[in-house]
Amino acid sequence: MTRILRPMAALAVLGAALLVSGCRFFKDVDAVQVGYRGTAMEQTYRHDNLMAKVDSIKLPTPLPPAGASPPGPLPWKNVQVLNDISVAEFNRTMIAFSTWVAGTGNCAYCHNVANFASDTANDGKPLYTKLVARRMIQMNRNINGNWYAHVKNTGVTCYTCHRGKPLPQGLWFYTNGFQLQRHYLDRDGARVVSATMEPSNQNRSSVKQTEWTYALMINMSQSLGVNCTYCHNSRQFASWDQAPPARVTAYYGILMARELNTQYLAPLQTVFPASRLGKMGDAPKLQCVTCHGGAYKPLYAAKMAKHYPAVWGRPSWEGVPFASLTPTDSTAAPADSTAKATTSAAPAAPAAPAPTKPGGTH
Amino acid sequence: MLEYQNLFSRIQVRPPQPDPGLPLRDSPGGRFGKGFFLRIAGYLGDSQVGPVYLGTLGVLSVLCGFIAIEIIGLNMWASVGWSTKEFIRQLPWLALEPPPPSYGLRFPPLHDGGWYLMAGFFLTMSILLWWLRTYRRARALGMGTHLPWAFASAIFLYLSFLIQPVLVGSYSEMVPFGLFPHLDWTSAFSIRYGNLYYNPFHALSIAFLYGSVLLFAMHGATILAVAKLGGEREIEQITDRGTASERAALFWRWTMGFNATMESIHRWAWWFAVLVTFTGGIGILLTGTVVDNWYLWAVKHKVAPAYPAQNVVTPADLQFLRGRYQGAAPDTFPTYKIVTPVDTVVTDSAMVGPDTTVKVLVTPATPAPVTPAPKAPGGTP
Amino acid sequence: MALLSFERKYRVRGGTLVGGDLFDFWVGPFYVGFFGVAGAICTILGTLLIVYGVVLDPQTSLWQWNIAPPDLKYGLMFAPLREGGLWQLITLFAIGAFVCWALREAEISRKLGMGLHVPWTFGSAILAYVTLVVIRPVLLGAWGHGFPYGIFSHLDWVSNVGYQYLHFHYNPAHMIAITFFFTTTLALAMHGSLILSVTNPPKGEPVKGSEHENVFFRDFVGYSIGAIGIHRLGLLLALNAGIWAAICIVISGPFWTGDWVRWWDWWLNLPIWN
Repeated sequence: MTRILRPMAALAVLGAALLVSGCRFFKDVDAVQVGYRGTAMEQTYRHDNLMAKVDSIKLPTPLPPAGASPPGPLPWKNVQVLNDISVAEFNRTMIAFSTWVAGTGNCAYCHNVANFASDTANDGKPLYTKLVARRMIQMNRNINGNWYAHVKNTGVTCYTCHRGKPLPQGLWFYTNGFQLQRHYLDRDGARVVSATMEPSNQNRSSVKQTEWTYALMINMSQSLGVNCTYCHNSRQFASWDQAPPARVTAYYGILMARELNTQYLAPLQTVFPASRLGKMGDAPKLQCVTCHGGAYKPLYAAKMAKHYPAVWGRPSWEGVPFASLTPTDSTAAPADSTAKATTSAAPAAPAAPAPTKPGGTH
Repeated sequence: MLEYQNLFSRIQVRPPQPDPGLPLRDSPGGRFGKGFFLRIAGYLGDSQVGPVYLGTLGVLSVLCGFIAIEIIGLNMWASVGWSTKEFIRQLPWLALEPPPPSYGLRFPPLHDGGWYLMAGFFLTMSILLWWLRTYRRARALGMGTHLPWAFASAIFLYLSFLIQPVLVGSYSEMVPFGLFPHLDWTSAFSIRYGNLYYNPFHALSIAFLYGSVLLFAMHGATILAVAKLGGEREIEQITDRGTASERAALFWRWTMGFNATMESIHRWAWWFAVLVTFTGGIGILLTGTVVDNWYLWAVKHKVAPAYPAQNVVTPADLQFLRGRYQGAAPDTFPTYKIVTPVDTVVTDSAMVGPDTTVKVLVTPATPAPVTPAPKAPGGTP
Repeated sequence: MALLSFERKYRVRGGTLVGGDLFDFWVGPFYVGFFGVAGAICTILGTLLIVYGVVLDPQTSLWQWNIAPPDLKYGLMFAPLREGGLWQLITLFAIGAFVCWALREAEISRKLGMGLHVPWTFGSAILAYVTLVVIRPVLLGAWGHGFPYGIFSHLDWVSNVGYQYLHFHYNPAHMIAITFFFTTTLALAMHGSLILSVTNPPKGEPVKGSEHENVFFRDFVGYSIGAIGIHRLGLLLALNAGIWAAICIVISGPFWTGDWVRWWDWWLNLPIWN
């Protein structure tokens, strides 16, 4: 009798002790449920890891809003993109740009400080940084203005990618071999699951193709710090009916990445100097991690764009109209939480209750 | 207390000379060596190692296997630029990959899958020769051929990984050689064919796999529990039932209401183990040939559970997705070709039943026409 | 009475752990004992609850049955019956039934003068189940982390838990467990084949002896583990399969929340490679 009961009793006591102490030791693992109960669609985080990552984001403080400006058009020459904002807003924006990309006050990174309007340096060589920056401002406005479906009302600024440095994180270049990042440029074929039960010529993708898709998805997951169940019910990856709403946002993210790479970044190959190009002579290109940096939303959803109308690209931001920031009027209207959709963006259907932010529901 | 449970041998009994073995029939090769004793082996099982029989079949099999391993290993080494350091460092990730899909069933150049096919050929020959060896060894001792036929079931599964790609029309579907790469293949295979968990033969195979582990746990524990009565001497217990077999049988009869005999438990064991690979092989052969998406198969046969829709893409989002790019995957990689949406009935939902018609517009920019939302068999509230 | 020809002499009193002579009897071929009664109660109640759960949410076929655990938001509390409380009750009765089964096996072993290997082995299987539905959920802070009871729904859980770590095959304990599973099956096939091949020789041959067992395997692969050895090995392999499976799931979540692909970076970044 004791031969059994004594070791069993010892095991039970040990187990109970482990459980009780475990409750406190493992308390810092948070799990966020994404799908129906029992389907195990969840995100798991170590609380302290996540908090450390959040704390490591050092956001520049928003500059004070633009004050009064003299009326009339901008007094400077060769302003090709930012010619729809006031003088004060323009100056404010320029200072912010320097903080976001080159170091606060480092105007010389982009400008010929002897002649700010010029696109060339004193020796006649083109200032590639200024030319690139001009295109980047257009890109920024494009993202915020036309890709509401992905960036919603958080939006992006230069800082989202550049993080205070001239070169953003996660840039990639062509190599000769297998490159999943090409999906963000000019290659498709990520859809490998058949829509029919029987084999048919509608789906001729191979297992190798599927490995490529899988690698791409792993890359996306790691870039966002989420797992596959954030966007999918893995029992049928292809099914939209069973997918969490984040998948729609992610889908637009891929389309956006493609457009940005093909329309904005790859064509800059003629502007960049050789030191900034890849081994095969191509311009740097972005991928998900460039903005996201390992977070499910870039900068953990910190809203920077709304403070800088110069990068909005849309007529208003959370109720604050862009047009009201004309030269004489600098007081911002009180913001309200309803978003105004832009013409070419997705209809602003109220999003399905999105999974809560990491940190759990406690 | 553990030492009285017959989990290891405290005292090892061995003859003065290693046992040279019984006379063989029809075995021109000889036994190699005299055998020797290994004390560490003797704690768990028998301490004698060797002699081993070296016949033509065995030698040829090992030779073919060696060639296969050399081809695989040298290709892996080449893939890291012949650096020894990187070879060791990256070894679990290194691979010898099958040819890309563009070659179909034609023999590719060496660097692009040719070596792979050669290694596969030598490995297959090695396995088949080894099978013949098992058959000859059983025959030479006048024993039944149960082991060769069990091995044949495993070879059936192995061959099904060769036959299915041929049936599907491309060597590229084959399993790469490499530790992590073959695991990547496993996941990719399941994803490509719509979730292999819903393949009923896959489910059967797993049931038999877990059942085999259960059975060996039960049988091993039972024999050890009656080892003090000579239970491990199974042949004598079969031909002349002793108290060990009787108690073992009664244990299970009183526990679960029925029992095996000392012989029939080994039949349970044989069938469970053999059916793991047999049903598995059938499952592989049906994949890509008869069924291209096992989840949809399950939906069609009313086997897939329906979950209440919670936190899913809304119909508004689904509407907005229609008309978007619906390209099919190119069947070669990395050749790039511009894929324009074709107006076939391909939707972005894999749960469309056969009676649903959905139109897909060719131009991506215009919004799609409003079509009846497909009736998701998975069930939406 | 359904007694085997040799059974009568073994039906003696004694060996019980609890209850003495009160439940020391047989019903047909089944031994009862105190744990037979307790286990039967747990089983019947648990099964009735399962049936109730199925009736609450009727499906077309039994393959679609699903009894799901509670939402994570309930944490370690009791959830309402239809919101996962049913799952919790069924789990309790299941654990009760399994433990009673193991203890009943212990009583039967004692009565038959056998070692306790079988109940201990079953105990490790129960530990694996308890790891999945109690230990890991408690470590993660919610009963909702347990797997649903349903033939195909539990596979959806397995799939999604796997993909939570992006590529579960890279979990090292999972690799070890799978190796043990496949090796156990190989050893079982070999052992079953060997015994059958010596006791079922071709027509005209006599039944072989244990020398043939050893000689076959020494000729074949150079080593024969022997009659007692194979059973020790089989038990060891099967136990390790279950234990490493339990380990691989309990470290996923409570100890490692990242993806298992990244776990291998420690090897790739060892200073020795520089």
